[in-house]
Amino acid sequence: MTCSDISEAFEKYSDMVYRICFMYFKDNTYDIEDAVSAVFLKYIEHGKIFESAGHEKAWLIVTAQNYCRDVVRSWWNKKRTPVESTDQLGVSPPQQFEVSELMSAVMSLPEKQRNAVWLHFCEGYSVEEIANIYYTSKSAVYKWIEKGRKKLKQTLSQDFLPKT
Amino acid sequence: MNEKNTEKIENSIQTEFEKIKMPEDAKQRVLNKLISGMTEEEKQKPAMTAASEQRRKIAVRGINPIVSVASVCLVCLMAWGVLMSLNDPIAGNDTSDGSELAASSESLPDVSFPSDLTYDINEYPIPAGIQLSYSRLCDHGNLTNESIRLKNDSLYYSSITVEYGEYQSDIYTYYRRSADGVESAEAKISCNEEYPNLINIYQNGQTSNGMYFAEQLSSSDDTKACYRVAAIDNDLNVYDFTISCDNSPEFAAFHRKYPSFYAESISFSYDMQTLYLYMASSENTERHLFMQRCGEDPQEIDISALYDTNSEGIYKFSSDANENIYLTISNSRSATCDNYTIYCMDIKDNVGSFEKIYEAENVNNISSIVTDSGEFMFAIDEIDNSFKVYKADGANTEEVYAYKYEKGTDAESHFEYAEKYRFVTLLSEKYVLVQFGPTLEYSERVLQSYIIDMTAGDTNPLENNTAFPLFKEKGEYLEMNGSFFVDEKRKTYYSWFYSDDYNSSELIAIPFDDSQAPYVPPYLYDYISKDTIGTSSDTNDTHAEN
Repeated sequence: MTCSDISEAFEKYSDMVYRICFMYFKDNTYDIEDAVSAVFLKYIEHGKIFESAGHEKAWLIVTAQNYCRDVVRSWWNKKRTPVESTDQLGVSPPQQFEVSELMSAVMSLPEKQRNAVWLHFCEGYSVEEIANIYYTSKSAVYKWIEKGRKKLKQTLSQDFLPKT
Repeated sequence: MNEKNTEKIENSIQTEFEKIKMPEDAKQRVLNKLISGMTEEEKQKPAMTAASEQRRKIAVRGINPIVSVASVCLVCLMAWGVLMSLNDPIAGNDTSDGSELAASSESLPDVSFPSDLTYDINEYPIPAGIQLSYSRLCDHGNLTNESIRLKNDSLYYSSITVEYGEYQSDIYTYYRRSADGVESAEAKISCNEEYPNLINIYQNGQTSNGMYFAEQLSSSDDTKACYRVAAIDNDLNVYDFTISCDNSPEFAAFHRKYPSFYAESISFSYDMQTLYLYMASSENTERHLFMQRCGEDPQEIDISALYDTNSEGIYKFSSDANENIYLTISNSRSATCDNYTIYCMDIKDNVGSFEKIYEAENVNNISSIVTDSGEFMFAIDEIDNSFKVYKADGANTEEVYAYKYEKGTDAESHFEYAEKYRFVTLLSEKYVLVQFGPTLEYSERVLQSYIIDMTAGDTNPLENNTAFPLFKEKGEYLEMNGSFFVDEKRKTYYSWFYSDDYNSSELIAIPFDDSQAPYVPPYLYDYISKDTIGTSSDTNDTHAEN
């Protein structure tokens, strides 16, 4: 894999991978940046020619989610103490994104529902494609999306919804 | 909520998430690191970046103050966590080779703690594990987590294949793998001229006596719908069921009124020859229960009196060997606890009326099963830190086990966790699983799991250390994936557990007698993958390529 291949893939997919990591680590931009780096390193190490752009994208999605899940589930992550301010550590504060009510609601969905909702509505994957990515049945994906939708409707305040 | 609201939410999700982009400076930093100035050694240590440095500092900040905290309990808990993290290969933020583990552990200061208050995992037998890859069991189709069961020394599992022609057909194969070899039976559900559309829902499930597959079909103009269900019992007999607008006027009326209804759940009688289909309107305003005995027309069982409009409806229904059906209905669901009512109906001769057999308030969770011998049992975990297990025979219930979480001298951690999050799952007539987690937020991440033998006569097994802990090597916790089997003769538990990345499951054989080695039936050995699926990266490949 050449530098140009890596740059091209990074340019094409880094925002997507960043979004995936964002959903797991929320406002911890240090972890997000690490995760993006780790995912693309795995991509380089993988070194395989993908069958198609779709295959490559799906591989990155699954790899990013697996990586983030591993980090989130690790004992280390659960046991650490958060710091109040990065200033005390001599590290420049990273760029923070404003998390809207809707985004917060999506990010608080259970993992499977959140991933299915995001892939379906943001990345435009069909139910069948999502089922293939997760190696599960279409009905399972359908249910994740339905349950996610239902929860979003329950969670979001009336202000968010259009006046009838 | 109307469709307009839903559409707005869906459109907004895309807009909102498109705003999240990797900052340009971070992009440049990561890309530079990836393509230039990296030695091979550095490539193996991807996480040693600013964030790792930040973590190292946080670790020092996070642990030092603890040393000065007077609370022995807190010291014990944190130290235990540190101990776990040192043992955990993923604690170092690298699942592939654990290369950062050394860096992380070096940054952690030594923490001493009173050994008599520490939960020492080494006191317990380390279970041997075997890994079994689903894909190796079956070369085609999907094999779902639910569709595998070990019973009477036979392994039962299924696969699904699709035939495309003028009309689609789905073929389900149920396999029985035993010492005698592999036998199988096939059931097929096909679309046809009358019902050409396969609605994008199918369900499959397994009972102790067989397996079932269900698909919802509709006519080309959507004026008619039907549910087709195929069941295969453990003797590999195949049964077909159809509940449709053609053979049930009640179903036709329901479909006319709510074209976008859906099947909430499907259940079978103990002998697999009676189907129960529970359906709800899309807005959950109406719920209907249909029953069909094999070879007969379906009939509706009136459940309208059993719930009010604010209730969640049926939580679960089950059927025992004596042809009693049990409905568990949740009411007044709140964030912290639920109220449940269990009803029973004897349907041996005719559909009669339901009788209330148990009513529980302030329930943390409820778990019910039909045992291998066909008895209905349920466990009620109440928010007052206790749980009770009952056996039912029709309208008669009998308490068979009770446990109260008590704060014993050696069990602070159990109690602390039990206070925050716990989940009780009835596994069999004899065994119950108790799982603790640190907070509700981590409800899917279980910290401690124990199996309690309810027949051992110990009403305080956690404090008395007679409960069997489920830990893998080096203290990793195990998260059970539904199925659990006990081979009393060989003193071995078998269960499917999620792998670390949740993308696959492992079949683990665990001896529960210290003197025994785990018993793995010889016919399973053939299917223990030589190139096991233990790492995330392996699984990534499998999934993406599929």
